[in-house]
Amino acid sequence: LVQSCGYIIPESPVLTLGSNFTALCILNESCLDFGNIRANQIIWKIKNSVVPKEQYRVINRTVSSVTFSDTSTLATPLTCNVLADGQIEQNIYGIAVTLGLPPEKPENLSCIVHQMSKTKFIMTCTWNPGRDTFLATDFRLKSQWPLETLPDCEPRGVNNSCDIFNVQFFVNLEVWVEAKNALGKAESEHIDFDPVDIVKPLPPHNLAVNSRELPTVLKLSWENQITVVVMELKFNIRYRISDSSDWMEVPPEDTASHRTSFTVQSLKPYTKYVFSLRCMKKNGLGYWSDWSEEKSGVTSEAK
Amino acid sequence: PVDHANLLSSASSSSSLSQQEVATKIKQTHRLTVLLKHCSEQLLAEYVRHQGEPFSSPDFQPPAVAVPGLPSPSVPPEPWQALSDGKRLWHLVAAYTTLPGLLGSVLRQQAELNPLASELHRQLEAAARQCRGLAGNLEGIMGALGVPGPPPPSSSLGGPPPSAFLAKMSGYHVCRLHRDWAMRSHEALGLLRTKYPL
Repeated sequence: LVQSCGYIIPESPVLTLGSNFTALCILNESCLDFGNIRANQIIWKIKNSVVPKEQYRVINRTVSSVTFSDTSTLATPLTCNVLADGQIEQNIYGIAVTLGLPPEKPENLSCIVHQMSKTKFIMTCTWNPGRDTFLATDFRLKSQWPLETLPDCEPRGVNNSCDIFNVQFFVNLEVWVEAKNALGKAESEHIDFDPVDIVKPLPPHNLAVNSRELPTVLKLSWENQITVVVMELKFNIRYRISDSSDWMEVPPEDTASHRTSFTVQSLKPYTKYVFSLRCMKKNGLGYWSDWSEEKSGVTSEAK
Repeated sequence: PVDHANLLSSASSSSSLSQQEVATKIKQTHRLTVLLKHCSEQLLAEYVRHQGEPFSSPDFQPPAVAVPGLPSPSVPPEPWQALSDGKRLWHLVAAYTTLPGLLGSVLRQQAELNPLASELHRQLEAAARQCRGLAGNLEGIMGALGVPGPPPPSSSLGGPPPSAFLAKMSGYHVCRLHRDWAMRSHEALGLLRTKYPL
């Protein structure tokens, strides 16, 4: 039985797909005499198939090398073997080979602040992680204020988005993505913004619709779920006759200022209407909320 | 005092920010002080709500007490307004680089005294973050105006207080001073904003 008579370097390489690679099998002096082994007897194998001899090179009595011009042909294990005593092939040593690619530069980084409740906001940043690297690749969302580095955001179970729970309005934030694996590191473009400008607010709620003396108007009133201390809002109001599916919309310029009520005019008397509205930051920065719950009301009868 | 316009034009030419950017930063920071004032009042109310008697009785108004490391904004209004823009900013930065440490200490104390008061903990954490954000914004403005900032603070509430009551008391004073500084900063940035319009 041939004891461990040698070893391979590099030990457990991580290699870039498509690159070239050379491994050395180095025999221990002690084994040379005992097993009457020389480097020129070494046979390299990938899994169980022999590597063509043209890829071998005997460096000296104890060292044989094997070279692969394209690692795509490589697999695990790569073994160094020797025909001992003429016939019995013995394994000297074997290594695991990991193949993959360095991370590409993450692209299309963008962030949105979702309002979750009156006082709770979550900022979700998403990006394109680039090609599959076939390796364990660590993505981190990095962020900093002008004078303070903030904790990294570690994506959970995905590699293309991360949620930041401590959102601070009115302080500019610089955000970027770092991708890292055994073969390299890449960094996305940096984006810089005030989180207050990328908010998707919750829709107005507690919508109420009340008729008036005048048979062609209905007054809407509601509650805004985001405090005016954070932002003033503008609105879209849409309405339809209850048995129709065609929505009409109040001209946006009529609801371009902060408010909690609006009187819709030019309606048909004694008719049931359905209303819904949405909101966004007054200066147009950020995202429209979802549409609110629908509420209906009936105009009063014409006298 | 140096005319603020010259202060701005001479200073911002030396810094990377244009006059428009300085005015934008001042407006943004003023909005932050509006938010901070709103939240600091809520924090003080939330804090009092969790400390039991005598804190929660309506006529509980203990005299203002100095907190180590944190200047009290007790400079009367007239002398405060007589200060230069730079000096006012200096005082604000000194306070807002100290407050996060103090609020952090109060959070640790409240985590022991009121472990279930999660909303209070959230507000204390948010307040410390807001103060750090404001300090950064203010230092940005000072840099743009060419005004040197104060030395970094090193302040927390010190060792554990001898009693739960004294711990609650010191936390109360920090939250009240936080509210007072928020009102002072809101007023000061409002003044600055009128001087540096967009």
